[in-house]
Amino acid sequence: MPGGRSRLPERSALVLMSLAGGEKHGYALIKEIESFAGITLGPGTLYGALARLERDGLVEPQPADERRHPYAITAEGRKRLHEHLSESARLAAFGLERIAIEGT
Amino acid sequence: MSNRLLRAILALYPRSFRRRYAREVQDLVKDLEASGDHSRSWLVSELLVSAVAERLHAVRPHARLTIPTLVVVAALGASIGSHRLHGGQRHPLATASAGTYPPPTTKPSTRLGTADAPTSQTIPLPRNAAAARGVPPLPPPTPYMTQNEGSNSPSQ
Repeated sequence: MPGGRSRLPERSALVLMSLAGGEKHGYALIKEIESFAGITLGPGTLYGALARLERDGLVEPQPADERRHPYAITAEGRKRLHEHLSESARLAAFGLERIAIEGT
Repeated sequence: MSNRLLRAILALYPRSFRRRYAREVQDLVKDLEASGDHSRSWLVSELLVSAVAERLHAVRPHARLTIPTLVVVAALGASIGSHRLHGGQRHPLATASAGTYPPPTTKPSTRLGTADAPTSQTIPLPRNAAAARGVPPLPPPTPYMTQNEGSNSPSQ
């Protein structure tokens, strides 16, 4: 694939998309992803994704707000998300073009 | 969900994950329960499936887990668990060579008052089950193996 890096798992991309709009804690992440993607991430799935994103330096924990722990996207995370979405858009455009050609 | 159950489920996760995220997962589960949008059974099953996924990720960090993978893992786990629950016996093929299948168990049967009697019917098998099925016996093993076995110039 272009860029030579593996694509982000879909749930990780969703978490990054949500964090691109500002730092959030777990509950806010789940609710926002539900609203814009229609996908409900469970607590285990969410923190599994956050663990890998944090390990890869794509998100970073912020100082705790009372008992909640917000996360923020890093510059590297924005870059990876941009690559991921660009590739997705390229594939979508290719698929749509194919459909249009086949439909004519 | 009780704290005890939640802690028990979190104990299934890899230690590094637990140390870093257990507290946050507990808080999130409380928030989700309080919101009333998710049933307790959904939360429990999601946490259990994720525990398996995290264990596999701990073994293969770059593994892409799919639903079929998790189904296979769950089926294997259920099979092993079921096998152990039924007396912790060895595999039937392994017990067959011991002379009987299924092997006698000493599970007490209070209803019939036969605590020492086997609870399953014991079917004797011949000592050499392969011979009884008409399978020719294997040739006797070569008495000595040398380092040059198979080469054109066997050592003398």
